[in-house]
Amino acid sequence: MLKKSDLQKISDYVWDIPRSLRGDMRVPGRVFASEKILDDILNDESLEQVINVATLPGIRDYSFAMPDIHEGYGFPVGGVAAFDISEGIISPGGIGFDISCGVRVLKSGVHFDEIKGKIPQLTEEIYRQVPSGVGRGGEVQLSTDELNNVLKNGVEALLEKGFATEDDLKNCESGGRLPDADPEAVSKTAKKRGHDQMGTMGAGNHFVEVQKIDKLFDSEAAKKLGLFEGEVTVMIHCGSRGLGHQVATDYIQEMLKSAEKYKISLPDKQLACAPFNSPEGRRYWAAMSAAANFAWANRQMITYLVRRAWAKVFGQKLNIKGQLSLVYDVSHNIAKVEEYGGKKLVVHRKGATRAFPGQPVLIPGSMGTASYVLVGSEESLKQSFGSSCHGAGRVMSRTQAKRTVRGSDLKKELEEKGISIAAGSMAGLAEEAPLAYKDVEEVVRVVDEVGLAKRVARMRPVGVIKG
Amino acid sequence: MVRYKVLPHTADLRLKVYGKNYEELFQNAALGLAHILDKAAEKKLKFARGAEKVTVEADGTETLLVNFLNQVLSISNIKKYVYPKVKVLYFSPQKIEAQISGVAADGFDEDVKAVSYHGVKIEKNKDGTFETTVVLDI
Repeated sequence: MLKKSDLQKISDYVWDIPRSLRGDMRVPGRVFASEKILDDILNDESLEQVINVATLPGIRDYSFAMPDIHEGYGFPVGGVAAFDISEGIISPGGIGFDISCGVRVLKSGVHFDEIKGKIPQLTEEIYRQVPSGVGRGGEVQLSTDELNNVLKNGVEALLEKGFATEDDLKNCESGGRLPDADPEAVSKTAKKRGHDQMGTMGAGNHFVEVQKIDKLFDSEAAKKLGLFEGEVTVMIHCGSRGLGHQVATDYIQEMLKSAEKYKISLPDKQLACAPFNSPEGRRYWAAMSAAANFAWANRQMITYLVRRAWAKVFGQKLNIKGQLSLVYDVSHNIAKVEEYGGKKLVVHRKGATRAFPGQPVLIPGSMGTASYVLVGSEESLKQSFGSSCHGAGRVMSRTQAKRTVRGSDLKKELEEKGISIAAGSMAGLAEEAPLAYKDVEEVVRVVDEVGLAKRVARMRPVGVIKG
Repeated sequence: MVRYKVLPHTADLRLKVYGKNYEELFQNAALGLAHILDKAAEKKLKFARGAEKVTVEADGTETLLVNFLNQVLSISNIKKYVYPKVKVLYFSPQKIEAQISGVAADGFDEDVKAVSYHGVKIEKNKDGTFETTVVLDI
């Protein structure tokens, strides 16, 4: 276990793990955290994992840890690592099992006070319209051709069918489509797991939330995004469902063999990887891109269903252009090829979000706490390969959370706070209790202080929809 | 003998599995997975049907176990079934052929994304029995 004395304090919120700590490190580690958060981080194996990542071929500058970091598989959750695309590797563990899990925020243009009486009804209606839970299919079943179209074209495939608008495309990271996607690189098993999951939320820490903006930190930036205090927003958090999970499982298995073939020494099996420029590496890149396209299309489909629910509750004809417009959509489990200092790097962000200058950064809080909209800055390009945190991170296991909190009590407690809850599982609700998570305020504050992204608005939940 | 136990893990679930021999270890691991997906899976053992044949190969037995469980998980998701019952048809340290059977599930209790290789070690106890712990990504 690492101790604080092993780290070098660079500034109030930046700590380095020197290369001298372990002989196989190619670069140092760099942790963005307050002292308080660091004490928490040192309680699990996340920094050992940061060190393990620092040993991988082609890694540039630092193996990064965001303030919401916690232990993961191979790569920690909340880790960022960039690799030279000609000399470096690509690793499915650096992206995660839920490929392109991410968040989007829709703005309503309506003040909370205008519609507060209808929030419970809206919450129930969204719960009815958006399939949640696991081991069930949604209302949309895709044929093989339709699924391949989604895998290849992401949100663009839904634009053709009338489930998305041009603005939806414009305001989504990468336009909701990674161009290197190849449906052929996605296994039959993965496709079988995905064909009936379009427009489904899943369970665990995924949710749809009706929110109210309760504080603005930067009124100019907020105005640019069309956000105002008291505005009702909707946040959607989910990923690529079973299709993405299967792609990750398939390729981690395959890359165990690749690592041996290319003589890459792995301090941890879950770091299984291949050179980005190898057939195996390229195939995973194409499959990951396809799974990411599926995730964006999924969040877009859910958006369509939420718009339908909104129209039903407020008696409006479904005019998708007029309601709930997309502020932005970010992925927090993904790899991107980006250029830094004239070199193309494959930036792995697992439990981390891209934070380019002027780009909205969306941070979901745990249930019943606050969520944030931030905006990326030039500093992030200099300091963290254009990356920021993704959320609060857990501190308590699901089993312990269920022992500590009863779902039905938590539901009552949140309802007494004025938050409507529609949840499929009381046990699932207990697992997601706020006390099981780190303090998102502190995480976001650190990101703001370092300058990776600047706070724009804070939202509080008024309606929570969970599987 | 206790067949399996579900243990806490910060973000996910750990499944501790016991077995008299390798075959039993694999059977109990599948049973534990079925239980996580459906708490009533064990009670439904006697109604098990919907047999599927599973063949998995790997370089080592620990990798084999994880790959086997991931196969069972994939089939569970595709068929919307849980598979508490496993009949081992062939077993070697690098290959398993099994017939899995179970019952239809109306939704799962947990969204298990995958079974990971995280820290998986199959240990042999002094009394000759085996145990292992697998981490499941929720």
